[in-house]
Amino acid sequence: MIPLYQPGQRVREVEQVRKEYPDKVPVIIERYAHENQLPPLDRSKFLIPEHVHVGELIKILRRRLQLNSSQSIFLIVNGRNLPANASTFAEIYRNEADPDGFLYIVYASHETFGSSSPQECAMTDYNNRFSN
Amino acid sequence: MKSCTEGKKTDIAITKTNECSRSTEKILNEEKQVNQHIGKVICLEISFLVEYSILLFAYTVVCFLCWLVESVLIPFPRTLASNSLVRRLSNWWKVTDGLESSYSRLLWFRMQHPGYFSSHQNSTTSNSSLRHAEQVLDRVKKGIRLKMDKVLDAYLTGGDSDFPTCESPVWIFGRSYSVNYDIEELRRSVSSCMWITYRKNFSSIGGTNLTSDKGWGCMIRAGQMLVAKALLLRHLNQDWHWDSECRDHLYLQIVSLLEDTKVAPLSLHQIAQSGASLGKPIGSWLGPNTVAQALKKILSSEYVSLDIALHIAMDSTVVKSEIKKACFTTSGHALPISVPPAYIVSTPRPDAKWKPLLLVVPLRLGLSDLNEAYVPGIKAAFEIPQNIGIIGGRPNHALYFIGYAANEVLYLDPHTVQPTVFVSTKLTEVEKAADETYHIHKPGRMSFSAMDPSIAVCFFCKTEADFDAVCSKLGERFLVTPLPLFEICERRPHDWGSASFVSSSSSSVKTSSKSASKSSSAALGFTTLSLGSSSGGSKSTAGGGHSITRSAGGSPSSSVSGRSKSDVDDEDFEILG
Repeated sequence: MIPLYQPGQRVREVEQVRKEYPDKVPVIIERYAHENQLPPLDRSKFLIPEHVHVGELIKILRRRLQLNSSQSIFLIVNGRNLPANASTFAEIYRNEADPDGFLYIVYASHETFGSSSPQECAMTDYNNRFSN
Repeated sequence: MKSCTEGKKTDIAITKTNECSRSTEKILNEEKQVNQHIGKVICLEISFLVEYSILLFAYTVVCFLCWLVESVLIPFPRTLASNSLVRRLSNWWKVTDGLESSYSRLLWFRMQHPGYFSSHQNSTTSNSSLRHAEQVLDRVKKGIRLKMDKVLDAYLTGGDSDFPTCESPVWIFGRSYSVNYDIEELRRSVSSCMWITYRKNFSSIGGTNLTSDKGWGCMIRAGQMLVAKALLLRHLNQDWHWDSECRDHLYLQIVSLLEDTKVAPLSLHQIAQSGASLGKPIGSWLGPNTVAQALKKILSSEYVSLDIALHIAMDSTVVKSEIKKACFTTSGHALPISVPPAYIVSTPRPDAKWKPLLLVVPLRLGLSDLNEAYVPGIKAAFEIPQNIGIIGGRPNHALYFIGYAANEVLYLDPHTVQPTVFVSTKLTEVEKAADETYHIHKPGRMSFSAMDPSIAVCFFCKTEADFDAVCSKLGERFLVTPLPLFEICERRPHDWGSASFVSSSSSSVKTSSKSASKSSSAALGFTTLSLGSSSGGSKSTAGGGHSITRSAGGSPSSSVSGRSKSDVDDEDFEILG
């Protein structure tokens, strides 16, 4: 998921980037590992201006991933929290940044539900293929 | 000469045989790898099965010990012990059923992934498929553990108490009940809610030969329960309640909207096909958001006039002005001429100008598990009088949550396969029995922590005052909960709003290009992603932004950027905003 780094490498990287862009926060945005409805992003490291709101990022991601308005996308910070749409990245970074200096965000859509007899689902796919 | 050519020939022959042996070596190597891979996968599966047979054995032993203790120590062993033995035996079968289903899941996984056993192209794919196998096994394990926990829990609590015996009130659909005093009322409110389950032997769904929704339709069933609840609230009195003799024609009309035929507008068939038009083939698993979208499509179509506006608040934001606009402009009074009469349910509205609103807020409150910090927020949502439940579930198992008691969430479970029946006018005994299959007296319950994080919270607002009450009450409650579930705002914040987005985006592009030129990011090889959409106005400004960045790149870069180039360039940061 995340490339392996030598210890301290990320910290140095963040220091470097923070020095250069004091008004931007380093963020890592990735697709949730079990996500199968949303496409992956072509890159994961982003610099986001501090004044940008979460709502704007969702808007950007929606356009980037070419989602239509009926598809759901949720950002989860640190694997736990949904950030409030009106909060800026300065606030989130202050509260949620990892000790290594990055802010980790995962995006996912809704989980799907189905139960015990998946053979039937496989059969359906099979049938659909033939009916088409 | 001759010997020389002969020598060459033998040389060639030797190299050829060398090549041959090399290629056979390669094949052998590959075979070895494949064998190793298969070995690993088989080991995984065997360890998984062994682990669960041990668990099963342990469970049997515990059951036996309990039975022994009971039959020896309790004064009336015959009736009690035989009763509980029967119950335990049935529970035991449930567990073996779980094991069997998990194995069938494994088989299905193998069917789906031909590379499961034979991925030998390179080591990375075989590794990833091995990891995938591990993940699937993990998920299966989690499912079985939940099932066994539930069975044990049912055994320990006697298996037949519908509500926890506790002092704290039970909240169902925004009303509180006391288990000690209002138990009858509580049961009545549960049985008045429609319980819609898997059905079998219905007429096949268009284009497929599916005649049962077992295993895939549970989320659709949860969605049907939700819309049924909304319809009952919309068209029947507040104090209406169901009993086995109830023959209210509006109630019967609502039931007929949901029956499993091709023509009923809210049938499984229609919802599945509506889902198919949203890119989810019939028979595939759905999430709460997709089901809500499918229902919205049906409810807003011309052929159905049920006088309910379904609004889905995307991106965890309820925008009040948008909802009010939608509810005031769509007039449900003037019925389109083309509507077949069977799909109309019309009763007078309490507020003639306001189209009754079913508000659905899809949320994701965690990645694989529900973040406990959101539990107070969920409880707050259940306590709003306009709440009509939450569609969601536990992993792979869709449920319709109707309320909570203490630390447990109460739900109606669609996972029971019943034969397809038709209630129609409910005059004969058969039709009466058919109606009984749409109601259940006992809700299921489980702890909040077992909930899947993907949920959709639902409210039904009959009047504008109802909607305002939902917003203000939720606003108040979310202020005191550790984390609010979602946001409520008057109008879409113009920063990312759709209407005024172009102007604000152009300004942000300007600022970003300004900052980019300041820090000469183009010299570092960074790309600047502009906020501007593909609409004409912002495009030109975005282009302008790019040209500025490029010109900045052309200018001689400062010493700082020159140094950082070697360090940061290959790390490939992208500047957003």
